[in-house]
Amino acid sequence: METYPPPIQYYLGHCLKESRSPGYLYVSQDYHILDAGGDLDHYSLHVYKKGQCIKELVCFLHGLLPLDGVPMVIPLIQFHAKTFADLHLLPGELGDWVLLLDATEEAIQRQRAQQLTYQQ
Amino acid sequence: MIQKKICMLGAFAVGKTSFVKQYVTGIFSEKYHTTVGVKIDKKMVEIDGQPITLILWDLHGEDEFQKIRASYLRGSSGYLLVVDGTRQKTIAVVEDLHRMAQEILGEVPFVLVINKADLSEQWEIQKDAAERFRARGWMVIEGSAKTGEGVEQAFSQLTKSMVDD
Repeated sequence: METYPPPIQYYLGHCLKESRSPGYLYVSQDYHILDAGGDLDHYSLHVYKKGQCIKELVCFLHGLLPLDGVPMVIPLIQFHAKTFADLHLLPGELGDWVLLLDATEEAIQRQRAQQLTYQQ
Repeated sequence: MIQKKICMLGAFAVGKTSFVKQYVTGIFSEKYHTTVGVKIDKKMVEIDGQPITLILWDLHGEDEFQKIRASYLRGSSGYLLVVDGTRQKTIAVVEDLHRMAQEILGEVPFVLVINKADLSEQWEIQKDAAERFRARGWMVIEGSAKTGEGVEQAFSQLTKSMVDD
C-alpha cells in the first residue's frame, strides 16, 4: 500500500476529523471497554469509560461482536433523528475496534433522492 | 438480561418503519418517510415471566436498485418479513429476502406480516395468500401498522419462537 508523505497524512487526518467526527471504542470479547476516544459525544456515547461492560448498553453492537477476524462496515446507522454514522468494525489483538464516522450529510441526500423517487 | 436482534425485511414503502413505530410507541403517522440505512429501536418485553430486550433493526426498503447488505443481518435471532397487501409484487421481494436471510442466518424464526389490513378492499394479494404461506409452514399475520391490528401478535409470536429456538 502506498505511504503518503506526513503533510498529506496530516491533512487527510484533519479533513476526516473535521467532516466525519470519528469516535472509537476498543471492546474485549466479553464486551468490556479496553479503550475509548475521539468524538464519542457526537454519538451520545460519551458516558462509556474504560473497563465498563457495554453488552446491555450499546444495543447496536449486539450480535455484531466479537468479529470472526474479518473487518466489517455497516453503513448509515441512524443514531438520533438527525445523526447517521457508518460503523466500521476492525479486529484487534485483545478485542475489536469500533469506529464511528458521521454520515449524516450522505444520509440526508439519499433520503431526499429516495423520497423524490417514491413521490413520482 | 436476554437480548434478541430482529430485522425488518421487505420492499420499500410496505410499512416496516410504521410497524416498528406502532409497536414501540403506539403511534402511526400518515406521512411516508423513506428509511435510509438502518434505524435501531429497543423494546423490553416479557415472555413467560422472563424479561427480554428486543433490538429492532428497521432496514431500508429493498428494490432492484438497492440490495440489503448482509452485514445488517449479522447476529439476528429472527426477522419479520413485511408485504403490502395492496401491492402484489411485494411478495416476490420478500421471497427473495427470505432466501437471502436463510443463506446468511440459517434456519432462524421469522414471521410474515401482510400489512395494510385496514385497506383490505384495495388488496391485490389474493385472499388465500396467507393460507398458501401457512401451508409452507410459515407463521403469517394479517395486520395494520395504522390500526395496530396484528402488530403485538407478530412480534410476540416471533419472540416466543426465538426464545424456544
